[in-house]
Amino acid sequence: MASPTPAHRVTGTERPPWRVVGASVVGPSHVHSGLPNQDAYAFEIVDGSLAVVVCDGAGSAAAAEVGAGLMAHALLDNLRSMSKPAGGAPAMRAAKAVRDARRRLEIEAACAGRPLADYHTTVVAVILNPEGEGFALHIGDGALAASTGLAVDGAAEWRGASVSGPENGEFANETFFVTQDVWADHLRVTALSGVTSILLMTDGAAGFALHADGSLKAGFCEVVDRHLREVTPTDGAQALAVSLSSEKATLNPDDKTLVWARRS
Amino acid sequence: MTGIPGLEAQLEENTSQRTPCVLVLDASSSMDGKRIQSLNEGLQAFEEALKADPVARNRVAVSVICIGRDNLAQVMTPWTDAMHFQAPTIYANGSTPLGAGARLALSELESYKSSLRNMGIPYTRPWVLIVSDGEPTDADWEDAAAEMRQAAVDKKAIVFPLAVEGASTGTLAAFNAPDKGVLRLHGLAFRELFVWLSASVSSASQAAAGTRMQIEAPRMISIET
Repeated sequence: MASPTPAHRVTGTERPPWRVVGASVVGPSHVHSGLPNQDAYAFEIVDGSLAVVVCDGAGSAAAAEVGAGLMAHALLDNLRSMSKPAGGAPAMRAAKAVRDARRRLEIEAACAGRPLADYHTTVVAVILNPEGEGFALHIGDGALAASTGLAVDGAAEWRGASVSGPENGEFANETFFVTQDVWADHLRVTALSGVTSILLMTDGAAGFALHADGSLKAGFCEVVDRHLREVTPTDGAQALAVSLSSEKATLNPDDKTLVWARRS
Repeated sequence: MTGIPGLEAQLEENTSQRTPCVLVLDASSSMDGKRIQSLNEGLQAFEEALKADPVARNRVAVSVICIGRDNLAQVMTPWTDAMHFQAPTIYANGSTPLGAGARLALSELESYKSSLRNMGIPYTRPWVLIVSDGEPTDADWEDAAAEMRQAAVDKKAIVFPLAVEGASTGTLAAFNAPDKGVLRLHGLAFRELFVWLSASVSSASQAAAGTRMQIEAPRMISIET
């Protein structure tokens, strides 16, 4: 389902209990410099379990879009097989999934005669069973927000949501990559249960969903969530892509990817 | 095709990152006449170019330090977002305390980064442009140059020493990492210099995670290492 994301890519699907909408749009700075969309996303619903992976390839890496696409694919494969909770603690399962996915990238790099650094990419991912139980894993920037409550009108309640925020170096354009040797030091795992609605974003879109102090902007999540649960997944995906490409959104020149999922 | 209703109002990027850019400008008496006039025209061009750039105007922050008057280094323009930047008018006067200028630039950067951190605003690596046409006159300029050089070596800042015609690039090289060298301005192409600086710092301000930026020097500037 992944592999280098075209300039604009949208997907909407529904398979109970999950409804999923994803959009990825190339940033204006990439258009300007002739770079492809270096974000990638992939998701799958199997036996009622949902796996989502969102990757942001490093602008400095020679094959960033390939790295992001491959990592999204490989990690999705590994997570899919982990939807049964019998597999051990989330931290161990997450580390195993990432380690195995990295191996696929290492083989790819070796075949292409490239260093692994050419494929530098961040990763935000989640695996949830039909009851909304599972875990999120995260290396680098981007963000994930998971709501577990419902407001009176049935909309997701974002206050008190679980958040996995970006990890940067001192400078905003420095982050950590799953493709670095030190990946395990930067792997952050969040155990989740009773998830009703979830957002995963690359760096370009994360700034819309988080306050400067890293807390969640409930207003942004509410507006996205309310609309996407009212329209068909296909229409929702188109609308999401239009919003991510709007004049105001593109004041941030980076590529932007957002995947939303809701459990009914 | 329409977007998600009501989302536009939620798209405030309140974590918009900053790229700090500090200019250390030699305004000693040797710069008097056409040089200082060209430098002032260059600063005007810098203001115009930054404001015309939709990303840079939001993300680049500028501070201007002058050296010369009363033989001191002084902040002419405290940290200002590019959209509000107004080019100061520089008058040539006094000696060339370049060491003091470098130290002031480093301390201004530290205090600005600290205030950005307090506000939760991320920032990219700062830029330092040092423009001079002469030899430093302060006694301990070499210590200050070593501090600036260390900042460049440690990748705490991207430093561009620029020698106006007549200046020794050897002296200015002491302010930068050994492998980075010095820019040399040919003639009085300050306008070209600042248009180039605006475009380059704009690219830096747009750099996403992990981006390495290639900068092309303009025609009127050569790089000596």
